[in-house]
This record gives sequence, structure tokens and C-alpha cells, in this order.
Amino acid sequence: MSQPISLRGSTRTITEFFEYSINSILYQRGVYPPEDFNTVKKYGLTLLKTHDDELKQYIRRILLQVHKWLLGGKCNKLVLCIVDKDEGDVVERWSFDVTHLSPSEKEGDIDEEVTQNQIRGLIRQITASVTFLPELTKEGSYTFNVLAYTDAYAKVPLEWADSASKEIEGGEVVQLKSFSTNDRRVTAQVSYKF
Amino acid sequence: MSNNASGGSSPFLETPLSPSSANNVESRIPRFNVNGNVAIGEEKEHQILSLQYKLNTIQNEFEIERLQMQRQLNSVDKKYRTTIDELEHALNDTKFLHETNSSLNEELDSLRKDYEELRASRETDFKDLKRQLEDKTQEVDDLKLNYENEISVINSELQNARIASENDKAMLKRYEEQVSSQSLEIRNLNSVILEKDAEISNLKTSGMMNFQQNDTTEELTAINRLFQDQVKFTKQLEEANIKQANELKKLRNVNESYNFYKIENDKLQNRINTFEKLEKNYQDSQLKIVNLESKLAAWDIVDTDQESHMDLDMNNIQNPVDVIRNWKLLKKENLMLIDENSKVTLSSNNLKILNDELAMERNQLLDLNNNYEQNLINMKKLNHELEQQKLLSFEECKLLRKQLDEFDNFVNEAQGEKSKDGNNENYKDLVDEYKNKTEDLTNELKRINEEQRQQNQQQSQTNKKRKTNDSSSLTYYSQRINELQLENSSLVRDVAKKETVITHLEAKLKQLAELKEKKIRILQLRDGPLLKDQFIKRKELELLKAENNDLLSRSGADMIPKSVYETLNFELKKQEDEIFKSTKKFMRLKEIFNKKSLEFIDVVNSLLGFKLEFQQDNKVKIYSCFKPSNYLMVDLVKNTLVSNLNREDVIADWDELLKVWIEDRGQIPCFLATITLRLWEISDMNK
Repeated sequence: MSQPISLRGSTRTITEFFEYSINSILYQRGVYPPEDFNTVKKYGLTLLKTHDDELKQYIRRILLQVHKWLLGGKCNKLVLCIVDKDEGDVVERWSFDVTHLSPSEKEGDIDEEVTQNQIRGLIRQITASVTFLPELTKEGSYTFNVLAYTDAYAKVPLEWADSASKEIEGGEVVQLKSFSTNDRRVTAQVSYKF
Repeated sequence: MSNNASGGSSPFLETPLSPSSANNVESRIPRFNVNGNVAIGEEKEHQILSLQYKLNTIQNEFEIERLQMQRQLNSVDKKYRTTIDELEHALNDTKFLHETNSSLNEELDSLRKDYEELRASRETDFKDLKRQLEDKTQEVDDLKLNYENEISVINSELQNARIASENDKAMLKRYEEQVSSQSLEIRNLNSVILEKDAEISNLKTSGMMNFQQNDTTEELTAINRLFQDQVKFTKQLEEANIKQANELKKLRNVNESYNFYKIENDKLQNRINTFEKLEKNYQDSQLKIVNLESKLAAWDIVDTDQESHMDLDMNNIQNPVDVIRNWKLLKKENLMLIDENSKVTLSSNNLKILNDELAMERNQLLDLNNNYEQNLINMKKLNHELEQQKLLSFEECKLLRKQLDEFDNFVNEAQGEKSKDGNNENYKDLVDEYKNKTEDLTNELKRINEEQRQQNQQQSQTNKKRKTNDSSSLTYYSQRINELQLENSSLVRDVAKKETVITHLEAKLKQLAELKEKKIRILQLRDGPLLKDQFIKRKELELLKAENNDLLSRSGADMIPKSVYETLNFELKKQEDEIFKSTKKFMRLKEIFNKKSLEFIDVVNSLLGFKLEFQQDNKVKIYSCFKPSNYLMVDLVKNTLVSNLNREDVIADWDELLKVWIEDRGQIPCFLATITLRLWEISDMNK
């Protein structure tokens, strides 16, 4: 019987999920070429993880800070926007809402295995979302941006700057699955231009 | 020029030919006339051409080298920039880390200090409380022991008393029984005595009667004996009675002691009851003590801050009443201090107002002083003017005297002989007298003026000195003080105004902060791929705009603006980046290909038993997994097959197999399969 996840452990689980989900989205949506990714086994699935140093470093820097914010309960949303380089339009917006559960909202100790199963389901859904999302036709002309929604008084390092929310106006929204740890609940959704 | 160079002729050409063209013409003319000169010309032309060619090649090489160097320079520059960027990033990071580290260290130090102080105070409090608790527990234990001892003593006494009382009761019963039996006996004996007395009296009466009638000695002796016996018996009875009386007395004493013990027992029972009550009270008080201790701990927690600020001695505070008393005292003191403070502030305000008034008065006085000095100066000026007028009047007097003398002379000449000597002499005497008097007066006036002047000078000198020493400095400083005081008061007013403004602003800021607290910040990394792309595009746009402006505004046709070069440079860099990316992609694809081909070779090796090694000259080396030291070499161009397996110790009938499977049947896979089987057999045999 595995132990329930502590606050630090739960934050690590969430950060790790963000890492794999960002990699999966970037691979599935063809933002980066397939040769930039390696296969790894995680959550009982074969996932793809980039081995491009620049991209890896960028994701690592984001997630390190997000991890700190999550530990302090200062971050409540992480958004991945896929942007058309030529037009500057946001074509897809993957949003991960993090709800910090209060003691009254907690539903007892959640087993780590349950959390892993929920994450597996969500990653499968992200992978499967390629089927309904519109094809990104202009190969190599898309880039991405990660936005972190934080508390107004969170400590922000110099390398971070304010940004617009980059919402897709009138876009289609699809609610994806969610997963819970002992202290937090993560819900995902994707909005896209159609 | 173009016409000349092309060889075209114009009849209207007025300009003379250029030397080169002229030379060409000249060189063309003798080419058809003199063979030797033609040859030299051709040689020279060849030389020129070769030199031009060399020059061109050198220029080309130079250009190529320059381009290469430029490329290298660009790449180096790029590397340099990237390294500088990295260095800057690293420096920024280190700076940031250093700052955060220092701030964290400071925080840690302060926290550590606070923690140490807090811990020390907690420890002292804890020790005090522990000591108090230990004292209390000691007291409680002592009391407990005392009470227990007393209770045990009382219990033992009670038990003894109970036992004694029981014994006494038993004895009493026995004694009562004995007493009752003896009293019965006594009664019986009394009745017997009464009977005997009655008998005696009867006998006496009968004896008297008989004495008179039958006085026999025998009867008398028998009666005497009987009497003696009776006397003895009564004596015995009396003795027994005395004994019983003594015993009764003893029993009564015992009974009394029993009653006494009983009373004592009751008293002790009462005392035990009171002790039980006291014990209950003691337990209640202990509970109360625990509650009070917890409350005291809370008081201590509250008082720790107060302790640091106020000079309250915690040892004096035994209970909350002390604290309340202290608090009340402090409150009263505080109120008194507030009153005093308000009075002091009022008096200080009054003093300030008075000071301001004094400053104003002082200013007025200084103005008056200045006016007075000015008046003095004016008076001196007037005095000086009067002196000058006086001198002028003296001069006038002199002139008039001269004129008078001249007039006298003239009158004397005119009168000549007419005038008399006596009158003239009188006139002369009068004039001389007048002259002398006026001279004396003028001298005296001069002297007086001189004295006054000297006095004035002295006074002025002393005044000047005083002014220089006292008045000037004092007036200056007093003036300065006044100015500064006025300035100070105005500044104080300004500060008060500013403070009110600051409080208002702080309140507003607080409100705004409270409003903003619910807001969310959306953040992104500064050097993300999107922002990088946008930055490159913006830069490109800016460069193109600059280029466009420069090209539109350029005046000379030969000039190429710098912005064109910059744009080209930027594009070059972009292209280099693209090349870098494509190279990276190519490398990765190559890696994947190598990986896949290795996988393929492995699969072939494991499934077919042959390891394929592709050579660069279109040859394939085939190694069998059963004999890796030997191989088959297939030349795909020449269509030949060579092997070192055809030895006697390996495959003896190599040629035969080759003939059967390749030459006759044309089945290479079957041939290879046969070889594989053979090699397996050999390796199996060897095993």
C-alpha cells in the first residue's frame, strides 16, 4: 500500500505532470519536430520528452519557479499557448487550473496510485485530443508560450515579466479530465480556434 | 567613353581620346606593319592578361578569404555575443542569487537572533515555571505526606480506640454480668441476712422466752456457733462486697474511660470527616492551581512583550491581581504623563509662538537699529556739509576782508589828502581789532571743530570696533537665528501638512492593496521562444524601416546607406541561425538513421545469422554468427563474391557448394543458408 502524498510530494507530482504534459503537447501538436523527442516510460505510458537543450532548459526554468510558487500556494494556473509565428495569433490554449484545497475541501487521504491513474487518464486524453483539434497546417511556423497565473503579491524573479492572458476570443472550449492529490486538484481544458 | 571602348565612332566626337585608347589605336596600327613590335605587344598583352587574371584570381581569393574571414568573424562574434549573453545571464543570476543569499542570510540572522532571544526568554520562563511547579509539587507532596501521616496516625489511633472500646465493651459486659450476678448474690445474701436476722430476732424472742423457760447450754453453743458462722459468713460477704465494690469502682473508671474514648473517637471521626473534606478541598485547590498555572502561562505569554518594554518585575507578579494593579497604576501614570505631555506641548507651542513674536520684535528692533544707524550716517553727512559750508563762509570772509582792504586803499587814495590821519588810524584800529577778534573766533571755532572731529573720530572708531566685534556679528547671528527660526516654523508646518498627507496616502494605499489583493498576475519568462521570435521580427522591421528611410532620403547616387549593410548583416545572421537549426535537424536525423540502421543490422543478424557490414566502395562484408572470424565479401558493382571460408578446416567443399547453389541454381539465399548450417555443425562439433 503506497503512502499518501505530502504537500511537497504533491507539488512535485504536479510539476512533473506539467513537464510531461507540456512535452506531450509540443510533440503531439508538431510545435517542435519529432526528432527532438525521445521516448520515456512514465505513468505506465510511453511518453515523449524533448532532448533539445534549449527547450529543455526553458521548460526547466519555468517549472522550477512554478514549483516554488506552488509550494507557497501562490500559483493557481499554468497556461500553454500555441502561437502562429506569422500572424501572432494564439491558435490553441491549454490551461491547467490548480485548486489549493482547504482542510474542509479535502476528501481524505488520496492514494498515490489513484493520482497516478488519474494523471495517466489525463495524459491519454491530451494525446487523443489530436483527433478533434484542428490540424496545424503551417509546419514549423508555430511557437509556444507558457503563462503562470500567480497571486498579486507573489515574489517574482527578474526574469519573469507580466503578460496578457492571451485568451482565444470565441474559441471552442473542451474540458478535459482532472486529477487530485491530497492538497490540490488540477483540472485541464483546451480552447482552440475553429 | 563607352563609345570609345566599344569601338564605335562618332563624327561629332570632340573630346580627345584617352591615353589607353590612344595606345590601343597605336598598338593596333603597327600590329599589321612590324612583326617584332607585334610580338612584343602580344607578349605584353599576354602578360597584362595573365597579370589581370592573377589579379582577378588574387582578388577572388581575397574576396573568398574575406568572406570566409567575415563568416568566421560573424560566427566568432555570434559566439562572443552568446557567451556575453550567457555571461550576463550568469552574472545576473549570480547577482540575484548573491542578493537573495545576502537578504536571506540577513533574515536568517535576524530570525536566529529573535529565535535565540525568544528561546532564552522562554527558557528562563520555563525554568521559573518549572521551579515554581517543583516548589508547588514539593509543597503538595509534603502536605500529602503530612496529611497521610496524620491520617494513618489517626486511623491507627482510631483502630486502637475501636479495639480498646470493643475490649472495654466486652469487659464491661463481663463486669456488668458479674455485677448483676454479684448484685443478685448480694440481694440473695441480703434476703438471707434478712431471713437470718428474722430468724435471729425470732430466736432471740424465742431464746428470751426459752431462756426463761429452757435455758440449755447446748442450744446456746449451737446458736453461738451459728452466730460465729454467720459472722464469718458475713465478714466473707463483706470482704467480697468490698472487693466487688472495688471492682465496680474499677469498672466505673473503665466505663468512664470508655466513654472518654468514645467521645474521643467521635471527635476523631469528626476530624477524619473534616480531613476528608480538606482532602477534597485540597484536590479542588490543586485543580484550581493547575488552571491558574495555565492561566499564568497565558499571562506570561501576554506579558513577555510587555516585559521587554516595561520594567515590570515578574517576580513581583504573583497573580493576575498584581498585574491588574500594576496595569491600573501604569494607566494612571500614563494618563498623568499624557496630561503632562499635553501641557508640555501646549507650553512648547506657546513658547514657539512667543519665540516667533520675539523673533518678529527682534527683526523690528534690528530694522529700527538699521534706521538709527542710517540716521546717524545722514547726520554725519549733514555735519560734514555744514563744516564745508563753514569753511566756505570763512573763505568768503577772507575774500571780503581782502575786498575791504582794497576798498580801504582805494578810499584812501581817493580821499588823498582830504582824509585825516586820526580818523584813518581809528578805522584801522577798529578793523585790526575786528580782524583779531574774527581770527580768534575762527581759531577757537577751528579748535572746537577739531576737538569735535577728534571726539567723533574716537567715537566712530569705538563704534566701528564694537560694530565689527559685537554688533556686526551679533546682529548677523541674531538675524540669522530669526530667519532660521522662522524658516524652521514654516518647515515644521510643512512637515505637519506632509505628515497628514502621508497618513491619507498610506490609508489609500492600504485600501488599494486590499483591493488589489484579490487580483492575479499573469507572468511569462522574458526569453521564451515566442518573445525571442517577436524580438527578431521587431528588429528586422526596425532595420527595414531604417533602410527604407535612408534609401528614400539619400542624396548621392553612389552612396549606400549603412542601414542596408545592417539589414543584410541581420539577414545573414538569420540565415546562419536557420543553417544552424537545419544542421541540428540533420544531425538528429542522422542519429536516428544510425540508430535505426543499427537496429536493422541487429535484426538481420539475429534472424538470418549474418552480420552485414556495408563498406564505402559498394562492398558488403557478411559475417556468420557461427564463425565471426571469417567473412564473405560481396562486391555489388563487380557482382563478385569472395570469401575466406573456403579453407579445408572450415568448409572443404566450398567450390562444390558454390557451383551447385550459385552457378547451377542461382540461389544465393540457399547458398548462405547451407553455409550457415555447415558452420553451425562445425561449431556444434567443436563444442
